[in-house]
Amino acid sequence: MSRREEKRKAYTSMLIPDKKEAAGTESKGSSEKICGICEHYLESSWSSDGRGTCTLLKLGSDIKSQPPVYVLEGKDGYPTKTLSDASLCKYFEKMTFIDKDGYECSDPIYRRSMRQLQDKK
Amino acid sequence: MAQTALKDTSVEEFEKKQEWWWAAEKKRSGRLDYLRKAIWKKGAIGGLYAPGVKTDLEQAVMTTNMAKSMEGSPDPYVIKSAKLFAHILDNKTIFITDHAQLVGYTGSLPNTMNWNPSIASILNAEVFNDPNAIPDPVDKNQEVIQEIVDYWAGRTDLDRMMPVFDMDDLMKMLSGSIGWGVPLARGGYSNKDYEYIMTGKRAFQDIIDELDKKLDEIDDAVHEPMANKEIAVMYDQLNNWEAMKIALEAGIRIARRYARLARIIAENFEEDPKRKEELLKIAAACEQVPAHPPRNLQESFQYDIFIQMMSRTEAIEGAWPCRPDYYHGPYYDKDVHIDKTLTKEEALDLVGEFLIRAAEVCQFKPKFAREGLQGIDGTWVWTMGGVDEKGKDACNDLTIAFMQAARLVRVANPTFAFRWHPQVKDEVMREVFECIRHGLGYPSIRNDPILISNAMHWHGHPIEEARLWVHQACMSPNPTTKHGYQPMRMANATANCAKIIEYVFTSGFDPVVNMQVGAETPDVSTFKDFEAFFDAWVLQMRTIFSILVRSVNRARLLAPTMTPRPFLSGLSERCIESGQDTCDPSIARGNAWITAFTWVENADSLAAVKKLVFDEGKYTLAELKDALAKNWNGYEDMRLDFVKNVPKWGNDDDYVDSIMLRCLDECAKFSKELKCPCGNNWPILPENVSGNIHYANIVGALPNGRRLGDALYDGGISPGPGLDKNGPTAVLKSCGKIDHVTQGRAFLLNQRLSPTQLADEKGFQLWKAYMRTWADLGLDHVQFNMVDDATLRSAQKDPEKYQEVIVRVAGYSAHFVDISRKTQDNIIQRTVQGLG
Repeated sequence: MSRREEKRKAYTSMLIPDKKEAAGTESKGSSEKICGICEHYLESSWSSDGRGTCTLLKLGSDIKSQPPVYVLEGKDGYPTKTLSDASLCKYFEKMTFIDKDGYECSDPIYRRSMRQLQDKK
Repeated sequence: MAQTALKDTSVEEFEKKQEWWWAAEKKRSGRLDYLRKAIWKKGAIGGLYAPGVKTDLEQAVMTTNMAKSMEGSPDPYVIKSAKLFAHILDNKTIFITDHAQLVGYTGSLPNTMNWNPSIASILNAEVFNDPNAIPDPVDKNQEVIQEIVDYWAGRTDLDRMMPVFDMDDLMKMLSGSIGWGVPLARGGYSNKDYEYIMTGKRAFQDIIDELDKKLDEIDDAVHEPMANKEIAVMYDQLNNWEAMKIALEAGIRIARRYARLARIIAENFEEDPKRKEELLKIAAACEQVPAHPPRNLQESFQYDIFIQMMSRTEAIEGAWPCRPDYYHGPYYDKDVHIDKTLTKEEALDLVGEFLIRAAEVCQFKPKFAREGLQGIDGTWVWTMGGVDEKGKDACNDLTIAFMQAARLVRVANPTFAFRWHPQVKDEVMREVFECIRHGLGYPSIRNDPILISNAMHWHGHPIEEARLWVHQACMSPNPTTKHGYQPMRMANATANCAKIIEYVFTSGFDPVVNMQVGAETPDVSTFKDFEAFFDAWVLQMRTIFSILVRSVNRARLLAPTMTPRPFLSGLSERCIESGQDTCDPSIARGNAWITAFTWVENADSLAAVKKLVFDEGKYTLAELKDALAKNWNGYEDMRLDFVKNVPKWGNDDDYVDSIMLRCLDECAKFSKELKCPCGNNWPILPENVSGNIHYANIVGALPNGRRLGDALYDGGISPGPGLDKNGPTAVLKSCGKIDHVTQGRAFLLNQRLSPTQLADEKGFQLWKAYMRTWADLGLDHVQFNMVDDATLRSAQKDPEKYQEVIVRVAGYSAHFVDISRKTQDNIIQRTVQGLG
């Protein structure tokens, strides 16, 4: 596989939503283990559209295949989404919630400005 | 403020206390007061939409249903696009606000934000993920949204274009570390060919007649006994022209719907004879425009609003490039001075309402845009003043009326940018100054002679064309002429430049987004001298700029076929003439630029490295690399050394200023190597909007002593807050060392002045003297905040009482209470410069 093909394969699911994956609904109601609540998940700094990367797994990993493919060497993180099903991932590590409504986990940057407005009142 | 207190306090007392917002409320007409208070505040507060402001599902549902119904249609894509546009205009809910004289809104209700689901799935996902903005009943509507999002997955503009883009570049860009927007023709800032449509010579029906003629001519040509490549191409022209016609006809129809609504209300429901008369005038205006050229000021404004509303139906528009005093001025003159059909006060009401109608416009924007443009929906930077195509002063009575109306309605968006030139009369400058003194933060002042030369230097605009420029977004001049106008500025050519210096230390790896984004330059600790270090900086700069520019270039090439804009094309002489889409690079001169966010940190950081590492040898690069990787934790003394004991930009110190010039030289050189699909250059334009706050958590520690999370500098060439210690003239002198013609497209400079010092006539004279120095030094831009610390701190403590305080953020103004605490603090930290 050429480098271009490899990257296209890795990035396609991240950039071009499949009908079933739209709006981060990939695992809606199906798993309690989703990437968004994992210690290793890093949300995209650009948007609130549910994209992110894994800070542990690297490009080339695939936690949806059976058996999952884990690539731990490399530079670029494994692209994943907030609601991606992580039930098969052996590296899944649930994060400690800062607040309990779930938003703090799934969308921390989005709430940053609100906190800035509130915390010094 | 309690109504009794407002009633008991005179305008003069409020003005004396510099509480301009209360004074304005007392001074403006009853109509303006009502209209000003009736609009919903749409700009995101911090990064969040205000309670009650909701995503409009009507257009989204209509777009989706129409798209589904056209799936099997044999129509070419451009025709489908036009039909989709027409379907929305023909069916959207319309309304007329009480007391209004102007009509037209992007959404279906006054509190709604238009949502076009056909642009990008990543945007649609944000709509889905923003429950605060989902209209009631939330559960049911979330299902509706889900359905829309599912339908468009894989079908939106961006989804369709991604497979033919360079995905590697896109991943880097959409990581949010180095870029800002998206490379889409239906999402950005579109300038228009105002010389074609806004000079009273023609309107939609005239263009439709012209299109009919063209269609018949080419229809004849393709059926001649001949066949060749030229004829093969003509079918594309036919399709494009047909699509333009469909879009323009729909534009006339929706205006007629407004006319009908106004007439129905007037004739069946309105009891007040005065209001009835006004409604009939609205009806007459909407029957006239956009079909035919306006006959008076009201129709001229109405024409403009319709064009903007339609443009925002076709695309997501992040800006409102225009020159209202220039194009509407003749109608003001006719109505007020020649025909005397309007008194000055009535005209002022119309001008004020025009500002209010623009202020309420809103489309749902993604997080990066909301955070980068806190408090506003987009940069409606309206161009005022300047010269005409022959170089004569173009200021007129409407210029003054706009300045006066702005002080009465005090909206944060639109803002004005005033094209200063040596012929501007004192009475106009005084009005400009009054707006600044009243704390609006606008107009920003632009140096017309410099920017006209700049447009000729960078993009080869002929002088007559260059003189007809407007702001395409916050800062960049773009002519409104046949070949000069740029149909779409794709905002993703916006570089987070602090990453350039950061990547020198990380060899291009971005720890925040977990990706190799920049160039893999050698380990920084191996550099033996400053030249090697600087070479790595240059390579990182070139790498980041290239990623962004490649995406825009690709999108611009794909746009005519993949994301055509038949409505925008229909307003363009070159498209009517050629039958090509407005984005087709072959018929445009090209006017691209790279917005350089977070730029000045580079100069200060490079100076710090040069002085403390290479000149004085106090630290090694390995130590510095470690300190930055640890966010200066455990290195506080060292950090303070980098903050305090190094020359900083903005103090007229050649040590750091020469580094700034060297960086700009490198960029200018590369700007001429980078080419857009029109074959033109890509100069840089340092400015920030609220990017300095948006990027605060994305840019790591820097050698200027900044830590991760600290606000970045606020301007394009503004010194760091509190780091300009040698007074306003030193700031101007540093900035004046830059060649504002050849070293970049434009350079944003924020300055804070003391409202107390500039309170009276003496203040005006002091400001004028400052502006003379500014002009003599050849700077192209400056903008002012003139609200004192006490007021801003009170507004932080008690925001309810200070809802109307406006500040200049950077490139735009916003209500102080609508920006995040961090941005507020950043504005307060800016040095207040004493003049004289």
